[in-house]
Amino acid sequence: MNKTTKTILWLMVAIIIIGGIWYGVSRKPTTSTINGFIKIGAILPLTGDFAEYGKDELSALELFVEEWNSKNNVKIKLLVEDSRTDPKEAISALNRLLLENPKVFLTVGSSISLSLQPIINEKQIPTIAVAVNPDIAKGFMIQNNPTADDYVNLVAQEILKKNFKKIGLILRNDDFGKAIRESLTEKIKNKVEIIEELVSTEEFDFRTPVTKIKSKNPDVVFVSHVSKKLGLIIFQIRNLMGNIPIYANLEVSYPEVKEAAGASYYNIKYSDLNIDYNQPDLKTFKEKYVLKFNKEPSLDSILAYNEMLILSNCLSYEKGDLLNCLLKTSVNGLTGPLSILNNRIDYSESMVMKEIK
Amino acid sequence: MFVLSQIFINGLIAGAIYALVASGFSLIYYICKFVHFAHGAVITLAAYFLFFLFSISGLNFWLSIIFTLFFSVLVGWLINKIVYEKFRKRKANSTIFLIASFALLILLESLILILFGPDIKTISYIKILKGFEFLGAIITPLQIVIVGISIFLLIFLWFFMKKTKIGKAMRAVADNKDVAEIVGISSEKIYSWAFSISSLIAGVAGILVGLEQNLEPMMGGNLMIKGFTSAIIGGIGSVPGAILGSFFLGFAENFGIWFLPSGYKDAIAFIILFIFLLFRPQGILGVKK
Repeated sequence: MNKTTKTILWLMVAIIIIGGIWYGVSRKPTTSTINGFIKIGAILPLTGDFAEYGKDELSALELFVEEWNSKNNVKIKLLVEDSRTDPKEAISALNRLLLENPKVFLTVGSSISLSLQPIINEKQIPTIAVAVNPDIAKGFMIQNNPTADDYVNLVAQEILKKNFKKIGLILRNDDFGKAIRESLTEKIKNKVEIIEELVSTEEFDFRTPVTKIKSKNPDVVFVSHVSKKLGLIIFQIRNLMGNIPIYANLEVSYPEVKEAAGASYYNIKYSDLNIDYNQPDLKTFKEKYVLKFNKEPSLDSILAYNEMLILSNCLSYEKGDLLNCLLKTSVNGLTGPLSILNNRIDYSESMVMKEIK
Repeated sequence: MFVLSQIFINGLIAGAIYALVASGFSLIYYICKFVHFAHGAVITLAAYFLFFLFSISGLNFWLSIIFTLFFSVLVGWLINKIVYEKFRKRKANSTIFLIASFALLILLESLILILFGPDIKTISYIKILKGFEFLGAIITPLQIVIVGISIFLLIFLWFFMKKTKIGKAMRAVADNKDVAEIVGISSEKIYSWAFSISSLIAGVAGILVGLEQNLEPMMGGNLMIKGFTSAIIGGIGSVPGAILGSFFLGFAENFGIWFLPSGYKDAIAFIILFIFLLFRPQGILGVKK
């Protein structure tokens, strides 16, 4: 290769690099409503511990978007990224979606939502989060889930009413588990002795934490975890502690928990939303959902559809006014009238105690 | 009393699971002289293959187990033939093998993720509600099987390495590959044997862990971290050392979280690892060079 060829090659490389940098720097974010599209960014846990919830939420979002797009000229474009149930991955996903400049974000999970919150507030993009931790409901983030208080209010009342003296808590060691712990402990701490074990989110072997709880002879156990690991804890509690009454978070009613717990799935109580499929809107939603996805909607599907119903009232607003619109709006949701109070879609009146016999 | 015996049994079960992982992994390191992280992926593949045969295809449970064990051996043998043998022919150094084994682990786990999805799977064959009581502690039949098989494998591996022709050839290749080849031992054949036997053990581990703790695509990687830690504690390259290290780690973790919060379980494992790396890097049964 002679000198001239080398020089030409180097020049070409330099032009390509400079051109690339120029293109990257000059690339402007596309607007949130372009070519008749309203962009909604969804950062959902499609893999990892919360994958079941993320997938159910995505199904309901797709159902809503399909219905909306068939009726409206301005279409919704759903931009989906996988948070992998990991706050770090969620931030990367958010940064990718920010390039698309969506009008609003939707997300799932306490740790994930809390990690996104500072960026969301800085960028001033309204975000609806299906998450339990009460700290979610601040700034531009709206909480769309029964809160930790809603999860444990009725449970705490029953524990006090039944005069249990000692309770063992086995909790997932993350923002979800800690929010439940704080709320439950606050309500029963002076009347019931509490023995608690926080277990790693990666753990599958809960025998020694259960042994520690058993050694203190509690009257009742409260478990807060998610997915099949919740079923596995229940299985190991039944192995080591027999028929002790178990209280749990509402995710205990999910089919995967039942599958993992097997024959141990009994004598469990939990506080849940009062979902009445005889109510016309919910009945229609269920029929459409089953027809499209060939499975029953879960609570996450219902919550996701609820948030889209609220959002649909305000989608014509520009980003700056959208949050104000959301805070003032009220609609008929699948679970009854929906409105936002203190950055929170209020579900407190809809909670009831349920039992797995 | 029940607490002590229960934690002892919990430690024994955890140690047995780690031993199933560490023994196969350590056998490959002992003979082939590189860290085969993809051993974790073989465990995961075996567990999912059983899930596919038994839970999806509806095949008889025991037949599914037999096919799964054959499948594990085949996977291990193929990994050696397709990937590592090629590197050996090119005289690649141990760093290349290490990177290749990591890449294989990620590739195979991703493949499982694509094929089976991210959610945890359950093989609902042995779900005994109440176990046997032993000195106040409770142990289920499946857990007895895990401990029993782990001890059996320890004896089997010892016997195989000491008394059989292949085992002796394996030790010869492990000691000095070039000298072994001069006396007519084919090192490539021995490597294939090492991968086949360790993958058979990985298959057993995948089946038992899958039945005891359910399945998830990353289960092999997580198990490998504990298996690798056990192997270093016991003495890397020593199969009996790896098994001893596994039980040591199982007991240390479970007795440790009796005194500390349960969330410190992994921290206990890694603190022990650091202590060994600092003060006895050759491990419990390793020889200082």
